[in-house]
Parts: sequence; structure tokens; C-alpha cells
Amino acid sequence: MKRLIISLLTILAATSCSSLPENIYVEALLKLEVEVLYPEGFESYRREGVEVIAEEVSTLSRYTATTDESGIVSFNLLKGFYRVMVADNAGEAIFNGMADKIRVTDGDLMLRLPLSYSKPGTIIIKEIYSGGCSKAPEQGTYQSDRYFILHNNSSNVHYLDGLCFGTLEPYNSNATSGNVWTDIDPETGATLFREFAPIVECVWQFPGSGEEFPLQPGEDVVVVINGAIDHTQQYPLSVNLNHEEYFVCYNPTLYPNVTYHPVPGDKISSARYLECAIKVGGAKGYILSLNSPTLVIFRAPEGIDIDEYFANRAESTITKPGSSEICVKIPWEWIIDGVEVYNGESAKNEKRLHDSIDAGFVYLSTTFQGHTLHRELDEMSTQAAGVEIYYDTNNSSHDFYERDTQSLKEL
Amino acid sequence: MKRYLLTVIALLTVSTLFSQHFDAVVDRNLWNSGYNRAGLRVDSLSCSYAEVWGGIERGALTNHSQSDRSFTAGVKSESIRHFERISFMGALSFDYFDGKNMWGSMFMEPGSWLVDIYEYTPGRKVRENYSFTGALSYDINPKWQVGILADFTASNYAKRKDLRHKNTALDLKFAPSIRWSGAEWSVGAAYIFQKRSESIKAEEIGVTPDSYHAFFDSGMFYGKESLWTSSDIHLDIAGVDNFPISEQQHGVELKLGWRELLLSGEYHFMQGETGEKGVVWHNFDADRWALNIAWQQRAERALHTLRLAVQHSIAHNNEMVIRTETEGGVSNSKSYGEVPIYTEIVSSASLEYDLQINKSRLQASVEYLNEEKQSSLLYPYLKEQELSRWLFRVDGVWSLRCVDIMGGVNFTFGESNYSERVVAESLPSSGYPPRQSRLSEWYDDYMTSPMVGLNLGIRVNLPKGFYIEPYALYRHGFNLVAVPQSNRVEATLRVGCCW
Repeated sequence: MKRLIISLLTILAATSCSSLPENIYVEALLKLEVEVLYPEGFESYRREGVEVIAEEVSTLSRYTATTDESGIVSFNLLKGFYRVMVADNAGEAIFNGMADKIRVTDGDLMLRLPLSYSKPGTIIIKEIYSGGCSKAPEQGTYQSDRYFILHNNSSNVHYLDGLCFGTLEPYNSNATSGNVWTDIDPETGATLFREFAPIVECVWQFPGSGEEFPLQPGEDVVVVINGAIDHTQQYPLSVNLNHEEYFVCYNPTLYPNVTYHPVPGDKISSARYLECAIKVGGAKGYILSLNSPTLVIFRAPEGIDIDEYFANRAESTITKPGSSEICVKIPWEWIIDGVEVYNGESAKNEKRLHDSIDAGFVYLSTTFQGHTLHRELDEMSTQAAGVEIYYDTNNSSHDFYERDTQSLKEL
Repeated sequence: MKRYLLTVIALLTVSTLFSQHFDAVVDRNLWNSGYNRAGLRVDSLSCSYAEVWGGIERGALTNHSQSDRSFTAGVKSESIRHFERISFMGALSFDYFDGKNMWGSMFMEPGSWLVDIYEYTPGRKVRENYSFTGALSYDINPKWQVGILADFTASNYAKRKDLRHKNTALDLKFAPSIRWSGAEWSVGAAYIFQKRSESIKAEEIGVTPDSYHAFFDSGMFYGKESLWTSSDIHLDIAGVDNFPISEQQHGVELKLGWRELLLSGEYHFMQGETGEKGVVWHNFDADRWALNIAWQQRAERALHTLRLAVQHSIAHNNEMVIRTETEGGVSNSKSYGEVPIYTEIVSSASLEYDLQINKSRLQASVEYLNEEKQSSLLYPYLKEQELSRWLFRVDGVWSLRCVDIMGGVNFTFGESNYSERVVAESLPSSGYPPRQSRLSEWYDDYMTSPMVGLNLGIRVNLPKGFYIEPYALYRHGFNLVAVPQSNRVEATLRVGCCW
């Protein structure tokens, strides 16, 4: 009996000896080394202390480290796919770089991340509202009230005449078929872009012959994509888009869908109807993505007539690979500003905008809640300039945030 | 794992204390515990019963996903029959459960898997279990017996209010065994195979502006909260039917008997996954050990039994690194390895004394449960919890001529401690995934608050083996914070027949 008790106590002691692991992560950790490469002619900007972010694509775990004087930074990361981002705001110059879906799974990895040089913008996208709202107190949801706002972020007057905008293909950042316009670097998993932005369905253009529609420093302009009417009369959680200063995408011949394009309200002048510069799709109503709209504004550079460019379909259009859908080719250099919006309910988002336009992205977490994507106000620059100045580092991860309600409801 | 926990809880919920004579007959033979049915022929007493039962439960002294108002019913038949060289043991049962105000875990047995999915709209849930157990033992010769055990349970579960869901579950056990017996010694061995699976199909039928959220628990109630259709919740993924989870277990059991003593050791290895059709989201495994020592002594009309059971399990859950790659318009999911997200160590020990005198019986036991959990969802953070619980129980049956009086009392209490540490100096700028704190506090409160339970039943023995048995259980909790109520009452009526 004594031997039995001792045996039992030994067994009990043995089972209680197993304890939780001291460091469960050890076997799953890998090293990612990132070398930040500045563009030719800007090598002198390489320095110690530049922040580099590694963000896991599906869990959004975000790790930050700073470069040494050689421009190299090292991370210890769990296995996964990472998005590596650099936003170096060096005063008069902005350097952005992003490598998406870097595969850190098979062993330690060395990544050489090239940065793009860009200047702060003039006319910028200030707010995008495309996610719809609730029909409350009625049942259901509503999405015929899309708009976006442009802002003059400089100290000079700029003119809207001839400015174009469009949305990129694929409509949604988590499209089932993925983004056929990009390739993946087989070694690093980084995203490789073509030389143009594929604009889907249509390019809209501001009217005017050159100086008819000035935008003063710090001033905003609202562009109504769907329904320049007072939606709040029927759906209180929507917005009133019937305002004399607003512009509207309205062409009942090309887009006869009255749900998305009702006759504009009495305060909208026909002089403020945007023109359809080129239509390549067959839709009867023009919309942006509900959950991940990616918007760009652009102009052709001096010496290029954009109407002539669009008229030359052989040069200005391209058929989507694997499809009969036609898109408009807009060189990245023509783009003044763009915003990459990701679907916040998906872990399969893919980049559509080149890093030089937007090195990051902003999530739209949910739809039909009246949420918008809005640019962050730069308080210090605003105070200095005397007009509203917004952050513009060409990285929407830094420059944008998600609002709970449309900013137009506060006016 | 949590099977031990559920065993403890089952002792406190509606069930017949024991189906009287049949359980006493089963317990007379020490070889009837465990998986080795070759030892079925150690005893020679045949017994069978069939019964139909119904019960109600009232009171919110429940765990987070249980009902505070439910109805249960069922039919069951069990039998042991001994013949010249072969013995059979079998059971057939159907159980029906109908509970109101249920929300929380979408699984049939919350806590029985290493992950969980929670929804937040209270509604009615209905569960049906169909169960079959069969076992036989055959004398090859006076010293050698072979045996086999097969156990199959199929279950359906449905919630009929948005966010509604339907579950199907299967649990299959198969254990061939062999036994050698000498004058004083006996040795037995069994191989155990078990396959368990469950699938959740969620849907939203009503038209409402509300958005139904759900929470995917990756362990310790840490995880992701999102719309139920989000890919984070895994309920609505293109190309995958529902949310499937399954596991397979392989194990061995060795038994050594010497006179009145029986020593039994088990080892099980379990491997499981969530997902299907090439899309696997989690990969989990567990090692389980069990040691049972039983001693039995007959003295005139009395049968004394002392049982010691020790169980220990270590389980790991890993999340797969998956990427969807599109080639030629066809999307395929490819796995690039796994990362650890959860570790769980569960240990339990119980000591029971059982005295049978004719048809009367007294059982007294003490049980100890210890859970150690570790969540590792964001490197380099580690979140840890240690929970321990004691259960003291005394139950008795006083058999009179035409009436058996059953009664018992039990008492539980425990404690829970949390800690957090980091294993590297550099910390991420993103925060640790959120915790479903309401449910975690509820779970801790239910598991560790002091509770006392009283049960009382009467079996009226009628001619020709028939019986009627009303039974009631009352539980009261002390110092509760998150559990909504401190009382619960359960009442059952059984009508059956023994032969």
C-alpha cells in the first residue's frame, strides 16, 4: 500500500510538471531585412531613423522599426505575408514605397524596397462617400447618394476646367478574380504595376474652357456621382446634394438609370454637369465601388490634348486580360491625386494604385452605415497658411481616416 | 481537454443519478470502465432496461451559452447479456433538447473544440441526438477473450432566429480489444479510434437594417469581432460548405489486474482541423494521458470500490498562413505554413469511494480540475490563464421494498488567475486582438464561484420490473458577478422497465 501511494504521488507530480511553453513563438519566427532605396539623384536622403512599417496582411499586426545609417532595418516576424511601407516626409520631398504581400514563410528574407519621389499635391481628394447608408426608420439600405469632395491644398488658385476623374479596375479591392493588371515578383512577392492606371467604364471631365471654375486656396468642391437631390427628404441618414455650388455626373443619354441619376435638383446649374470624356463600358448607371472605391483625378500634361488622346482608342484603351471588358489607359504621371480604399471586411484586398500615387490604403470597415473616408487635417500647416491644409504624403494609410457620418451633414 | 470539464458539469445537470440497477451492474465489473470490452465477461450478471424520460430546467445559473429555460426528453435502452461463450452490451438512445433565450457559442457543446464562434441574438435552439453503442466479448478459450466496442452518435442542432444556424455532428468510436486472465493476474489491451466532426451553417433570412455580428474565438475568448459574413468569422467563405471542424484520435489502453486491483493507462493522440476542400484555416493537435486505479473488495453483502482517475492533456492550435492565388481565372488557396495561436493544458484527478449493499448504494468523491491556457495571437505578447476547480460530491440510494430513495449533495469552488508577458523588447504598434470580455467573465464566474447542489429522487418500483422515477435537482451559487442568476432547478420524470 505504501508503494502504491508513492507511485500515485509520482504520477501526479509528473503530470503537474508539464507547463505552458516559455516562448511558443521561437520556431515560427523568421527574419526580414529591408533595405530602403532612394530614387536616382536622391541618394543623399538615405539616413538613420526613417520609419519602416511591416504589417501582416490578414491579421493587420503592425511592427515598426527605424533604419540604420545604411538605410537597412531588421524585423523578427512570424510566418505570414507582410506589407512593408515607408513614408518619408523629408520636407520639400516625399518618398513613398510599399511592397505588398511579401512572403515571409520559407526562411529569412532580404527585401530591397525602392522609393518613389513625389511632391505634395495641389488639388487633392478630401472625402469619398460611396458606402451608402441605412434607410432608417424604414427597412433596407440606400446607395444612390455617392459623392466626393476635392480640396485646393495649396496657396494658389487652381482651375477645375478640364480636370478628369475615374475609378480603377477592378471595382473592388477584393475582387474574386484578383487584380489582373498587376503581377507578383516571384522572389519577394512584391506587387508589380503596369505603366498606366486602368480606368473602368468612363472618364468624367469638368466643363469649362480654362478659367471658368476657379478653386481658391483652402476651398472645397463637391462632386455628386449619384443623385444631386435632397436625399434627406426621404432618408434622413442620407445627405442633401442639391446645392448651387455642387457639380454632378449627369448625362441621361449615356447613363439613363434614374435610380442612380435622377434629374438634378433645382439648385444645380446645367453648367455644372460633368461631361463624359470617354465611355468604354456598357453600364446604364455610373457608380463607384460600394466597399472599396479607388478614385483618381488627373490631367494630361502640357502639350497633350486629352480629347485627342481619348479619340485615339487604339492608344487610349486596352482590353482587360481574360475578358472583353475595355478600360481607359491613364499614365501614372498624369494622375494628380488618388486614394486606395480597401474593403475592411475582407482579408484578400489587392493594391490597384501605384505607390507613387498612394503608397498605402485606407479601410472602409463597413457599408450602409453612412461612413466616409476623409483626409486628416494638418493643424500646424493650417495655422501657418491661414486656410485648411490637409496631410498629403501620398499615403492614405497616414493621410486618411474613416468617419462615422458624411461631412456634408454638418454643413 | 474539455471532455473532463464536461464530465464534471454533466454530473451537476439533469440526468438520472444512475439508472439504478443497470449502472450498479455495470460498475460491479471494473473492466467495464474504459474501452476494453474484452473484459465484459468478468461479470456474469445480465440486465436490461428501457425508459422514456422528460424534464424541464429553469434558472439562469448557467454557463454563457446554456438556456435558462429548457425542456428535454428522450428514450433510452441499455442491455448486458451473457451467454455461454459470448457477452453483449448495447445501448440505443434518442435525446431531444429545446432551449429558449440561447445565444453565445454556435457549437453544440461549447468548449469542446479549441476554437469557438459566438453570436449575440437570443433565440430558441433545438438539439436531437441519436446514439448507438454496441460491444461484445468472446471467449477464445478460458484464458483469452477478444472484444470490440463501437459507439456512434449523430446530432442535429438548429437555431431558428437570425442569426440562425444549423449544425450537424458525428462522433464515432471504435475499439477492438483483447484480454488474458490467469489465476490472479489479468492483462488487457485496446486500440482506440475516434472521429469527431461538426459543421455549422449560418444564414440570415429576415429583412432588417441591423447587421449581425459574430466573434471568432481563437482561445481564451481572444479573437476577431466582425460581421458574420466576414472572412474573419469563416462562416461565409466562397467554395467552402459551412464551417466544418473535425478531429481524429488514435489511442491505446493497457490494463493490468491483480486480484482486486485494476490498473489502467491510456494514451491518445488527436489531430484536427477547421476548413475543408484544400482550405484549412487551423490545424490543432493534442496528447492525452489517463491513469485509472480501481480497487474492489467484497465483504458479505457489501461491495467496496475505490477509484482513482488522473487525466492530463496538452493541446495546441495553429493558424495556417493562407494565400488565395488566382491563375487563369481560377482561385486556389495555398498554405505556407502555420503559426501557433493557442496552447491548453488540462489536468484532472478524482478519487471516488463506492459502497453497494444489495440495491442500496453510497458514492462519495472529490475531483480536482486544473486548466492552463496560453493565447499567442500577436508576437511577442503571451496572455495566460490558470483556472482550478474542486468538486465534492456525496450521493446515495436507499433501497426499500417498493421504493428507492435517492439523494445527494455536491459543492464546487475554484479560482482563476490571469497574467501577461512579452518575449521580446520590440513591441508592435497594433493592439492585441480584442477579447469577448462579457463571455470570458461569465465563464470564469460560472466555473469558479462557490456552488452547492442538492438532488432528490424517488423510484417507485412496480410489478414486472416497471418503475416511475421523479427526480429534482437544485443548485445555488454564491458571490456571482457575471452569471445572471444564482439559482437553478431541474426536474425529470422517468418511466421505464428493467428485466
